[in-house]
Amino acid sequence: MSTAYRSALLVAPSLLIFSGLFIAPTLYFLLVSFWRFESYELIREFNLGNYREVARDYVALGIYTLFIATIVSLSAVTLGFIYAYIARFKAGRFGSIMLFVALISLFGGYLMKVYAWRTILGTEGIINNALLGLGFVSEPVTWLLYNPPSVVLTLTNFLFPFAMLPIAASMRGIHDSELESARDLGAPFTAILFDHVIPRCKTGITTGFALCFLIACGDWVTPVLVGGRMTMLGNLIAAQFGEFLNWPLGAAMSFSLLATAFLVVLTFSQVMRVFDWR
Amino acid sequence: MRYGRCGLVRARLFGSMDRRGFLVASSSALLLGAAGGMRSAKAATTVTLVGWEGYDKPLEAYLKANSITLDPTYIGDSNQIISKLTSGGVGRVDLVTPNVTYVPLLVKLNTLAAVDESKVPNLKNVHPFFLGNPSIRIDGKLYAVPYVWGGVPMMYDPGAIAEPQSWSDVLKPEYKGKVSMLDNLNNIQLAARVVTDAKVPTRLTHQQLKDAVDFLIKVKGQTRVLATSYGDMADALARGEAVITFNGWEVVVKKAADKGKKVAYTYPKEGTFGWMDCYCVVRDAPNNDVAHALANEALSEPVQLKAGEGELLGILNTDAIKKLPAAARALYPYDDLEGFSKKVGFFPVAPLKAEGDIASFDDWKKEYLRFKNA
Repeated sequence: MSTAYRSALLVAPSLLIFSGLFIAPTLYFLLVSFWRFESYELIREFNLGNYREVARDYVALGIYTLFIATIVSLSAVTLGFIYAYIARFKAGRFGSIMLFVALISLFGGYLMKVYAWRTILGTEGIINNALLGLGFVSEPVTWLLYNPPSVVLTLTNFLFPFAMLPIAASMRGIHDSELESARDLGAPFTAILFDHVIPRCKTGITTGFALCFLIACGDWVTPVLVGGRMTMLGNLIAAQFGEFLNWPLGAAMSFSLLATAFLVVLTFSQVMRVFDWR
Repeated sequence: MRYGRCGLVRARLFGSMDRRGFLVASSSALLLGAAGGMRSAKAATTVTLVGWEGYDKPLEAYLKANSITLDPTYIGDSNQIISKLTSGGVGRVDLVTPNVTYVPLLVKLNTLAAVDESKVPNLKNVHPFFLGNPSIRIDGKLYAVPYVWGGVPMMYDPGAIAEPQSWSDVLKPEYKGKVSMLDNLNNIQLAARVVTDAKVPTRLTHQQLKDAVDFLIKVKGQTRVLATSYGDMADALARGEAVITFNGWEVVVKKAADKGKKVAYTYPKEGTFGWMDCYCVVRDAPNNDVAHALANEALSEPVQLKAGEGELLGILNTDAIKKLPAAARALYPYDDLEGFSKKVGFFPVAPLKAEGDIASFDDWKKEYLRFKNA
């Protein structure tokens, strides 16, 4: 048996599973996005009506969704970078514990975090109780919750490990001696950071950003629970697949969002190339 | 909702007390109980149900006693019943539990079987008010066995405001940020009662539909948050974050009271809509007899009492109503169903296809998306 044949045989099961569980359903929904739904009937006639509707009615909401997702992702990546840097270069033997703590926060569950923030930021939450207890306010403040910043905060908290872990993985490849050499040669902290650490972590940063961005783009539970009247495109997509059963329109919204999200990720990765020359 | 993060959504709905979700803990017994002609069920029958989670709980004992296994698919919206039945469910599913307002649509789609009334003797115990609902009987044939009901009142905090009179009271400037509104397409019916002269609030012209949704968008501007469930609504009222609501459920009074808050409800002068969930036998049901037996058992006194007392649902068995404990009985206007009928309508959903200038159900969904997007 040739090496190539043996390799193909080894890859085949995972390829089969990936194709069956991801590629095929994705292609199916892509096809569905060109059909239409009328009077509870899926009409299998190719048309661009759904995409026209998305372009006509939902561009503003799409841009808003991308904007929120960008803020969330940049926040998560920034915090993730700082955390990973401290864990790798400053915390010594506690670095591994820091990574472990961040990792196990993933086990807490998504909804639990959302509800936790709802409790923390609510009128009967810790912050309001503290403000009342310290006499800073005479009645609970309501602006902490049910607005876009509370969505950004909640999503950033949830996505933080997704941003931090790839960056931490990248940093493992940087030897202490490299930074020590730079310092010995008189390089200031900013030069070490921008000329050495960030370029070496470029892949991790881009991966972390992409993971956070794609998840934040499609999220719809957080806006419902802590966003008040706030709507993201994910909310409308969920409605199409749920209460309205209009899968074709929902699929068209999803693929439109996916395409633009990829463009943003691509742009981000291009922006990261600014560190290449260094 | 069955895809992607469905687990999250279901957990959310389950954990917070949606009217349906609230029933989750309660109804498994419903499918258990149907006595009557259930002898044939002794030989381990599997009945397929598509309906609200929890409605089957009061039947649990009956299911067990008659060796019936329930294979349920729980829904988050009556629309999902239509989807399930029109995409291959007919011939496989035995029972569904839609809101009565969807029954004419389901019949039009040729998905339901006429109920053999001789197999549902407990129908005789149903209060005439509910049996008189025109949507359960089409062309003289019965298609839906009523099970539980409720209204959609306006909730308010009597300690903070006087009893509201109109749905449009939510637009008063002093209530800005103090309104709780349930995210529900049927709110269009409420808005239509305020801003249109439509006699039937589910038969709106395109202009009336647009006006109604414009009104809803204004109401949305008065809210801080759209409630995802009646549990959320009760919480908001209990915390003082809301003093008045658009849409509601009688049971919110009890849920707020459990949190130490006195909340009241009223049916505003424009009127409102009601819901009555029914057991319907699906066309070509594999277990037609057992399905009938379960629908019959759902109307039995013990099952109805469980639904009314345990699940806090409005029940319709006259004997069971008399035996309800005072607290459960006080939740619904059992003693004044005549007065209730004058304020509350159970209108069939908008037509499947546009009829002249009358907007179709698809038009409603499209317009409601505009509300969500606003």
